[in-house]
Amino acid sequence: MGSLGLGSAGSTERQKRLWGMSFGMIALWTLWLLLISTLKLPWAVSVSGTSVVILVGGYWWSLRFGAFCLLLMSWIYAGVSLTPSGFYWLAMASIFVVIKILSLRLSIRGAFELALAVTLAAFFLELVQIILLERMIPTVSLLSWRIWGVLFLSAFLHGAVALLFSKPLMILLEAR
Amino acid sequence: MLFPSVNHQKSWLGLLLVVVLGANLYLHFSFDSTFEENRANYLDRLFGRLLVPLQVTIDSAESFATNTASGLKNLYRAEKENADLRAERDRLLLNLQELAELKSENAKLRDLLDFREKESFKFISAKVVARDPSLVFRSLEIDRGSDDGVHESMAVVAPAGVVGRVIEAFPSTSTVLLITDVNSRLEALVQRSRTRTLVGGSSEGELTLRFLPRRHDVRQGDELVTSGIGDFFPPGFKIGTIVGLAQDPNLVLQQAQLEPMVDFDSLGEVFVVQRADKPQNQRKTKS
Repeated sequence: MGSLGLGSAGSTERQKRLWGMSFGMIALWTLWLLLISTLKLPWAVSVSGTSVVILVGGYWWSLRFGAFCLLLMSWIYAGVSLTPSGFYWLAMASIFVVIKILSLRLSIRGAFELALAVTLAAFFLELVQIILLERMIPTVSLLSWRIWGVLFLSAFLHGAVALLFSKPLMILLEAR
Repeated sequence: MLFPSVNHQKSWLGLLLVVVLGANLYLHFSFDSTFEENRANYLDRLFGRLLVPLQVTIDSAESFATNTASGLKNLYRAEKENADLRAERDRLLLNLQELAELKSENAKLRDLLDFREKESFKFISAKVVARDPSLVFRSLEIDRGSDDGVHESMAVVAPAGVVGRVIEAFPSTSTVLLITDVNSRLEALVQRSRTRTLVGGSSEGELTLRFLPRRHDVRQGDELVTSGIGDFFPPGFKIGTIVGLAQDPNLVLQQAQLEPMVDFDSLGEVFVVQRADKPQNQRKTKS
């Protein structure tokens, strides 16, 4: 695990910078979360932006540091949502691990690749949550067109937002 | 390594990670009690307490900006609205006279029939501050809390019908679990046939009728109201209308979908139902 993101044997200065940037990014995400929750958008329109943070984190963080960052994010999210933090952490961590592994082989070049990556991350983040919920609450079922519609809508909205902010996001990805 | 400066403390930090994550996951996946008890996780509540005031501040700033922008437009509209409201007031005053007469007649009949006094309620008005950003769970934050007399389990309604119930009350804000949330269940009554049933939310944010025996008289277009059974919702508040009915002859139970009376996407103001001190619950004795 030594070569993964923040955990790599780079200079302490560079690691400190990444540490500060990571918490800065989480603070920005918190602000975004507060803003979209107070905007009272219709329920089908959910743009929490979590997938963006997980994607950037997948390129920046080591597995252990990522686990702690996701833990902090899960507590913040549970502060503004009914989603239990452990439940949200598990969903985020499963996507984070996949991105982490993919980041070793793949790199994102260009705005459209970034938007596609964010779309997929957002889609699978919501999907994992519904699968977990299906295991816990017997009345929840994935066999519903409405659920799939909402999943796709949320994922595409995230992709569109990522496309809109592709320049700063690409800078963030390359800053690792 | 976890943090750049603590490279040599790998092992205990790894252990700490396992303990914290394990405790966090255990607390939330031990679903052997009610949802609210699980939700009462200390850290989630702590972050809620920290973040909700920020939501209130952002909402106030947003309302201020919106009100300032629409101020002039509203001024032009106010004159016409004032005339309409005066006409409406006159009409309601006439209705009130009729209602006063009906009330006194009702009291006499109740007395004759030896009926119990109906429980009365107080309504605390509240503004919706924020909405759950999750796709799966459905809740609202309102700007009234325990300082305003709002407590857990109080019903929340809107003029159109039932909204949900308070599941967390902070000093100045509260969290309301909507009736469309997957964790919500409430006792209901079909207004036409007086059939009792259970209405539940779903992960899609829809209302469904659960455990409804096939022989029960339920039709498309029937309206459902709260039954008043249980401690949460007072009786007679509208819940929704049946829009879809699935009757399978091979099944014992039938399924129905409801269209909620309340439009949760445009909900701005709600009322928390506070039970007024019960006047006299004893049966009156005839003289």
